[in-house]
Amino acid sequence: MDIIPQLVVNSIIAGAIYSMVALGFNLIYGTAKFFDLGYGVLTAVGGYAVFYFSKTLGLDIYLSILLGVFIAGLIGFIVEKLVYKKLRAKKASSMVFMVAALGVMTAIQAIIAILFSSQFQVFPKSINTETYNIFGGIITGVQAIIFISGIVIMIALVLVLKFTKFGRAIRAVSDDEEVSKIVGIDTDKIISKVFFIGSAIAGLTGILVGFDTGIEPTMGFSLLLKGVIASIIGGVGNIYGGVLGAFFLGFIENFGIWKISGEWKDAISFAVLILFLLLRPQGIFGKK
Amino acid sequence: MKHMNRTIKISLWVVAIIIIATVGYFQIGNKANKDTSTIKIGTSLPLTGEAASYGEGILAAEQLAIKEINDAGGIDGRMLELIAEDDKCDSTGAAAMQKLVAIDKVVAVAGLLCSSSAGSSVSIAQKAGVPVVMIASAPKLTQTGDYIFRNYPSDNFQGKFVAEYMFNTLKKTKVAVIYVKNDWGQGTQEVFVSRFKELGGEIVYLDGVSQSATDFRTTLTKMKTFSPEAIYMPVYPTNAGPALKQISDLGINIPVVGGDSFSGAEVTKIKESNGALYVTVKLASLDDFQNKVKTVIGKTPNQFSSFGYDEVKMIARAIKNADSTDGAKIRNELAKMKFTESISSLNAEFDQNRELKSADYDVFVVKDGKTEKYSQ
Repeated sequence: MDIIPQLVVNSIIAGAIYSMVALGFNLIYGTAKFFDLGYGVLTAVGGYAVFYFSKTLGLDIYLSILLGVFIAGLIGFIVEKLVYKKLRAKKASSMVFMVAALGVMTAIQAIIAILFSSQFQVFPKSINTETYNIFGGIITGVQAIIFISGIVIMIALVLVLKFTKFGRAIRAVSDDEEVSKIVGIDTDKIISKVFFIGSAIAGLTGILVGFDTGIEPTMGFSLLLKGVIASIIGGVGNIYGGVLGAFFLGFIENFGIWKISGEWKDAISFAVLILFLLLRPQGIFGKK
Repeated sequence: MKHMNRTIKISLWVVAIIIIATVGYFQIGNKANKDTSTIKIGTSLPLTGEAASYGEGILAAEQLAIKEINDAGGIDGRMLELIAEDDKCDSTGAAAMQKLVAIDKVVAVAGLLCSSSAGSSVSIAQKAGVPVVMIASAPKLTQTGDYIFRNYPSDNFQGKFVAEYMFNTLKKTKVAVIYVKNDWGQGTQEVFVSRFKELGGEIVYLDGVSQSATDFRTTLTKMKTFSPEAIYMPVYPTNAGPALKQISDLGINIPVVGGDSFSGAEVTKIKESNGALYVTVKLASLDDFQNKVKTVIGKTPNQFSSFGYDEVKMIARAIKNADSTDGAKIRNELAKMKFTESISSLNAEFDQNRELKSADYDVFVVKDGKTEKYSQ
């Protein structure tokens, strides 16, 4: 049996998941300019919202997904209003932002664990139970949806940033928040909206990961770490860069353990991260 | 008159001395014989994290044991108090144990489900001279010292049993092993591999995964190329769910045998776990006990609960027999105890290595979200 097609498919599956995390993370980093470590936990918020609506309340699975995405976005929006906006007004240092974000992550994670227990959970129903064979590599329907979602979200973000007034405002805030304020852009409003969109993307990621493997309260942190590595490899704050970095990471990870034991996976991804930080800190694509 | 006075004076003195002596005697006597302070017993369990569902069920059983002892008057009138610390099933165990022995000053410790926690914590108890009776099954743990007991069969028993079962009963000669990289997974895997080879079988693929890993696609893809006839998978519930799902996704259709961690609801409620086998320590019929845990404590017990229950009862027995809360005396009582009323084992009795003298296993199969005894 030839192993390479399946390795390629495995890499694409992993890359697709990382790319979705990197997309939202980069959007927020580009606009609010801080390393939002709390971002990862919103994947769990989305996942558990769907779990609650579909299993506990017995709602339709597609309606649950919509609600889950919305709730993740809403929580991100509320956290921005309650925490980050106030820190911005105080001109807090990026260190303070990062610690606050860690606090947000730990608190939300703990609340989820209290409400739903820290057990590993699966959704009551799948959205797609097909499996496809691509040149000898097997991919499930859910994994294909993850891949397509990543690409669609990337294209949508690029279009919005380029061609809409809202997108131009985001770019202005991202270039220089102070100047944007002077020219009359309500920067707080723009940043809030960006948090909503970015968090909703995280929520969708968590939901899709939930359909693929399952959910647990701590799922966000390892996803976030991989998303951050992908962003740094591709170029922090760069939309295409994050996606490219994500697939690059997926391939490195899965081909890296082709000939050696699987436990090396994380060691490999973080070694790649350190290499990039040392040799090409601006990432493959650079900043913009 | 003078004479009279002297007599009265002496009498008064004599009376006073008698009163003081009597009161003093009873005061001191009370202190020696009627200590009513509570006796603290510690337990270190995963109450959050990957194995939290197990920890909660064990804690409930321990609380039941404590309640039963206290309701029956405690140990010579002294009540027992259970102090639970969360070891998160990782090296947090060291901090949990440190708190139990140094701050709470417990007289003995029960629980310790996860080998990954126990590995970092039993040496603390050993150094402090606090006896431990635990569940954690990594073989080397009891070698830490003479205060560390285990009333659960060590992985040496399980690895050997599974190897013999897969070779002799399932008639598989080429197997793959995917294990979780921690004390428990490593310990079981090593015994399994050496016994399986000894029987004449072949290990075609061997790979370790991290405790938090959920993406096993490439590990499984590699495994598939070696065409194993069956998989032995001593992994945690968090690993097992995704792994079973991915085994099915990748179209791998061979028997999977897991460790006792497969029996949890986190695994059995996953559709793809249907047909998965796992081995677990042979248990006595525990319907009464399980109902009691449910009605008295209000939590659902699991297959480890009875061990926690026994541990508390054994420790209480040792304290009573030793007539002391001194660590060394409790240890000596545990070492020679024949705990015939054990509900977790036929006879909880320790050998010179502070391990159970014998162990027996059952094979179970997951069927439509439930588990039942498997027979071929």
